[in-house]
Amino acid sequence: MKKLIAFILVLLPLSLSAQEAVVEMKMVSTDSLVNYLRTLDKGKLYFRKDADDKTLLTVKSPASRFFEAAMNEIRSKGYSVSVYDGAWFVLRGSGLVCDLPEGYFSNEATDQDVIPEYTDDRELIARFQNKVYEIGDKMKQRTKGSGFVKGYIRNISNGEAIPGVAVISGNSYVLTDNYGYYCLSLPVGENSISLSGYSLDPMELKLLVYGDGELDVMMKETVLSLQGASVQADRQSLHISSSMGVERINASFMKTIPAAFGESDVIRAVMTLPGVKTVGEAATGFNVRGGSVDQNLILLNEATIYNPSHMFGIMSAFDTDVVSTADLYKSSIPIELGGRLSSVLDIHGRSGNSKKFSGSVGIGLLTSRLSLEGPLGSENTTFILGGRTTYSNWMMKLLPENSAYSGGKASFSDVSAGISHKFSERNSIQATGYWSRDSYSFKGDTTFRYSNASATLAWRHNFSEQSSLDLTGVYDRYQNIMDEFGNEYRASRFSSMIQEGRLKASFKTVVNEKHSLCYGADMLYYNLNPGCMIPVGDESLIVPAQLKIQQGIQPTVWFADQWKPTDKFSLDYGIRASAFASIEESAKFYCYPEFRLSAKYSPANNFSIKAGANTMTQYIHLISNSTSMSPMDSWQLCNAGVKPQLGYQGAGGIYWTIWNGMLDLSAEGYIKRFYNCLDYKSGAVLSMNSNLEDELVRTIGKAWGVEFMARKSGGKFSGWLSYTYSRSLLKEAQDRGLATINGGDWYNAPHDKPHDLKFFGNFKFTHRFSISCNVDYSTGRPVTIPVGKYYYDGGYRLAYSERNAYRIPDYFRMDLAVIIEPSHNLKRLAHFSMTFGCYNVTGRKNAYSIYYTTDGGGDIKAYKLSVFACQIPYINFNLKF
Amino acid sequence: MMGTNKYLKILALTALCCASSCIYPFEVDAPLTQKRLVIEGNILIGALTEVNLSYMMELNTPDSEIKNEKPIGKAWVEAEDGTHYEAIRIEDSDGGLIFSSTKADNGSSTIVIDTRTAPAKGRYRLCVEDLGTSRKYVSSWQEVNPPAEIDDLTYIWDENTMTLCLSAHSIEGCYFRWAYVEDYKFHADRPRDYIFNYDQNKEIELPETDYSTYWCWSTNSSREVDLVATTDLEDNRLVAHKFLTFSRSSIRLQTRYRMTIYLSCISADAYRYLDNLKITSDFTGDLFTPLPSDVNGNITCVEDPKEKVIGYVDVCQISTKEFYLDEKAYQLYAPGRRQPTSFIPINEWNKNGTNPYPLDLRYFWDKGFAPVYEGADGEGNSGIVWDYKRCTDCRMSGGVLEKPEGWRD
Repeated sequence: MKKLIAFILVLLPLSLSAQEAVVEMKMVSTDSLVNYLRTLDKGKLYFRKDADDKTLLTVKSPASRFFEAAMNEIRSKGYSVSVYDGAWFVLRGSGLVCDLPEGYFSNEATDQDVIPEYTDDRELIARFQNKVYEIGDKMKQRTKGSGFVKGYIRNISNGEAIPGVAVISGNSYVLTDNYGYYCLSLPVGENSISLSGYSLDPMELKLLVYGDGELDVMMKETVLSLQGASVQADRQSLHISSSMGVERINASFMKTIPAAFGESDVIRAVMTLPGVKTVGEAATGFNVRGGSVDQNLILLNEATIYNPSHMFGIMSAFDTDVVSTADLYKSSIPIELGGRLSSVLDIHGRSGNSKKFSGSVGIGLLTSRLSLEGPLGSENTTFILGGRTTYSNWMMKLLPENSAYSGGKASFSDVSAGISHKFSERNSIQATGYWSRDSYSFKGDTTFRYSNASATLAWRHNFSEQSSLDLTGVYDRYQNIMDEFGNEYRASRFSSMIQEGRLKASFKTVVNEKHSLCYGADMLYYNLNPGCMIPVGDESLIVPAQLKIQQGIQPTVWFADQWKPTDKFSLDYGIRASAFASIEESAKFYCYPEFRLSAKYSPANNFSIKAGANTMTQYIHLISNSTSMSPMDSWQLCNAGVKPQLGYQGAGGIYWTIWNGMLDLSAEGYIKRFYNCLDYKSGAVLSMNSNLEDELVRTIGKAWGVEFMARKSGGKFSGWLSYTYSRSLLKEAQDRGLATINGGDWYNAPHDKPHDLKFFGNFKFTHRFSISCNVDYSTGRPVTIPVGKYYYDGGYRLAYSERNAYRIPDYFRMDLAVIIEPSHNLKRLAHFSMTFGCYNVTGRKNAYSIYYTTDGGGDIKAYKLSVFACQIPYINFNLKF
Repeated sequence: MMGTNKYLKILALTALCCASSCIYPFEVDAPLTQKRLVIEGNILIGALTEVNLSYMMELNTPDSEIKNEKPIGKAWVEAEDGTHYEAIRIEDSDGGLIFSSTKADNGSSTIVIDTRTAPAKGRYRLCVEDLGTSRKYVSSWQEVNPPAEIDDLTYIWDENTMTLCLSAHSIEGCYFRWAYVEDYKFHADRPRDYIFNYDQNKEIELPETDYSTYWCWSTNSSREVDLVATTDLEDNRLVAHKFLTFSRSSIRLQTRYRMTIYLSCISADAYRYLDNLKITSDFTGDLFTPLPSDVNGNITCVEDPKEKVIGYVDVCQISTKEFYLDEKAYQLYAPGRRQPTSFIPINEWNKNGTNPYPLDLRYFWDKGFAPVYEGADGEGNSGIVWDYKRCTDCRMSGGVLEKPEGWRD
């Protein structure tokens, strides 16, 4: 539904004889302007109104010249104005050809190729659906075979590339990549393609394919039809792609999920998906399909993020104002990604508004954020800059003195920046950077700090319609520091750091409609400082110590093919060969091939059966023996004593779309095996230990599960309900006699939660007003608890059970949020939106852990620790300009 | 503006208070499936070695049942050169000779082995025989750890607390372990001039002010596992290492305080064992604390090597030193204001108007009060003033009337 804003102002001069009236029309639609021009009696005026046309025109001119001025304005907006027999024709594309070209009847050849002038009305940018777009050179049209259609899909309002848009024609299917680029092979002749993406108005385009050609598409964000159903073509891709366990989350969706303190959060959005768990409230990191936290690779614009959280896990390290999409690969991991056993979370930032300078400001209970974006000089160069900071230090000063956090400090900041430049249709570059810093102190004598930093430079080159190269250079660094100054004689600073440098070249070639290849190579260099201790202050007796620096290189090559032998069957297969060499005196070399295979059979358009298998290798380990990943944890590269982790996964699923494409039903099962995962000896000392390998034990792991999901999209209500049953077990790989963990038997992994039920729903009462609800239930995680006591060294001490033999109470949480969208009044310079809600509506005191204390050898008491033990209301204000 | 600031503060405070993690009492039913023998004690070269035997028990075992299951055993120390150091034989109440004495409170049997003549070189191990199960247990052979010297005991204080700090050093050892016994002298609020005769139901004036229950001593032993490693320091030295903090209103600082420290160096493995013991016994369960688990000691069962035994036996040389706090420490005593509790019985009896019953002093005695002196109460009434019994009897505050051994006033 279009809203037209028409404003006509006629100024009457004070002296009627001296000045002519000025007519002004501001921000009017083409339709309105044409209707007014018809009243000026300049002849018949023909105009074909396009329902999707959103063009707005502004004309101000003396009344006598208003018609000409209006026509000029119309022409400037891409219309053609033709005159024939006293009538005016306002058309899109080339105008009305009313005369034959000169020399048409001559027998002499002419150098001028006049025909394209008269007949070539091809438009390389598709904005409207009710026209036929010609692809390729008509003069060289093929009579058989196929042609490649390639181009970029952008947002019509800000010119940004849109990744993840499904471009489907029959059973051919492709998703736009992170640059918004697509390439699809279509048979010559008439074709129809449908395009859809999250929160975008779906489009159907008619194409006439002569050969290879380009077509950029401008798509607009959806204004939902709340009455009728809309078939979501991106859900159709569920039955066309053979990939399994892949979820894409858009920034706009992230903002609808209720979260603690109302801070929209990438990781919280990921947690609503089946198969994704966490060991507890506010735990850093997440667990995917039975894997540990360090088995997930988290990428931000191709750079690795080692600690994806702020404020001890309360919110994630990613500013959703500058994030475009987040793809979680749980099973079918793309061939060019790897290095972790369980999953890849691939987060991409936005490139910025290419149309105009804009920004947004957000104010919440804990943080504030600001983002700016816009073109730099021209639409070919854009920038985006976003920053967040918290004022929790100020808030902590307000806490009562008897509060656990009174006198403490906690703060964080992060900045994301990006510049994109398009040299030509074939070449574009993008430079991005990210920096974050966290700092907190509670006891007054210990301060913790950690920081992430990354920089990425990416070059996209299109060799041809079928072939492209992405060349990426990345640097990232994670550092943590702990200062202890409670005792001046032992005042010290501990620090550790990991740095990576990577060069990656990834090629994509669309061979034909049956084969699409992806191949490439990358080289990754690690430099890891596992720990450094220095004295602080003149009185300190601490001896400076430095653990041995670890270095390693990890070259990888890969090759994969998407093969569609028939319309119903497709197969993705590939091999990824990775190697690792530690750079040290006793260098160790590891090399493992990784296989990726997934297949799909679709007996019907709305029903698919998929299966797949893959192997993964991981050459870096997180060293942590706490429940949740601690900011002070360090990492360990493989060497002669620490072997790479190996993982094998098989998965299968059934997918069924019903109810006119509105409801997706799926059941996906998996089974996994892990080898050489690390666990720790009882009482292990992990910090500043030069013989760390003596504290580590190798384990083997097994995990299996089945995920059921019903997802509704379109209409007033959208959301999903999922239930997962899964198990994850570990067993020590060697026999250490009495010291063997659980006597060598299988034991529950720390993140083993058999039952997991999730519900997320968003109901739109109106276009501006909606409510979201999130429900999460899961079995309590395993814990090791005391089963006995004894008297020792002056007091009572505790004897513990077998590792992870018991469970904390089950977890249940419900969150609600009300989202009030900005006004759709386009005339406004700024748009204000608000979100308010409640995290943990039921106020359940979910246990994070249970523990016992002897109070220094005295009475034994048991306690339950709850992180969020009550309802947390919140409110957030956002302003977009 | 002020109103907006106040509103923002309320909102912010609400958010943070909601976010403050909360700790609640909890009950878990975790049955004990295997009872294990606990052997505690280090072999002390040049001193008497005490070995305590006990059993592990259920978490909720009441104190009354703890002493019912004491293991009875024999123990001796073997040197690598074959020398045996036997337990000291003691008489029991029937005149028989036994090897063990019992400590009733914590359910352990104690065996004392005479290792006073053992040389400080070579390796030793402890052998224990559980007479109830006829099983023999041996510790691993351990080298003698180097000695440590206690340098000083100092203290620091702030507005509310005092902290004791230990300074010590060792030439070769870098893992320190110590225990302490603290003795302190204190007194009741005031001596008494009256006593109460319950049978006669009347106050009896004493011929002179009675100090017999005025002065007391109290003794506490360390319950926490106190350890420090100096592997990351320039030399093996503890400098003002804080280990005990108490309130400045603690009765320790009222009159005179003594601490006796027992310090020894232990091996790296013993340190790790005890450190883990300490962590798992005071596991806070927060986000970043290492997960608790049992650590195996160095004692094995000869008959069944798979049997788990609790305890780590090391070989140490012990240093002992006694410290009295200086006079300045007692000036830091800040007992705080106590609510007045003294009263004159007849006034209290008729507090709400005339009590129809005659005054019964036993009523107050049974409530925990006793006559103290003749004088005026807080409201200016004269008579024999009563107060809590602990105000005149220091024993009711946990003290004993006998001086600890070696006490110097």
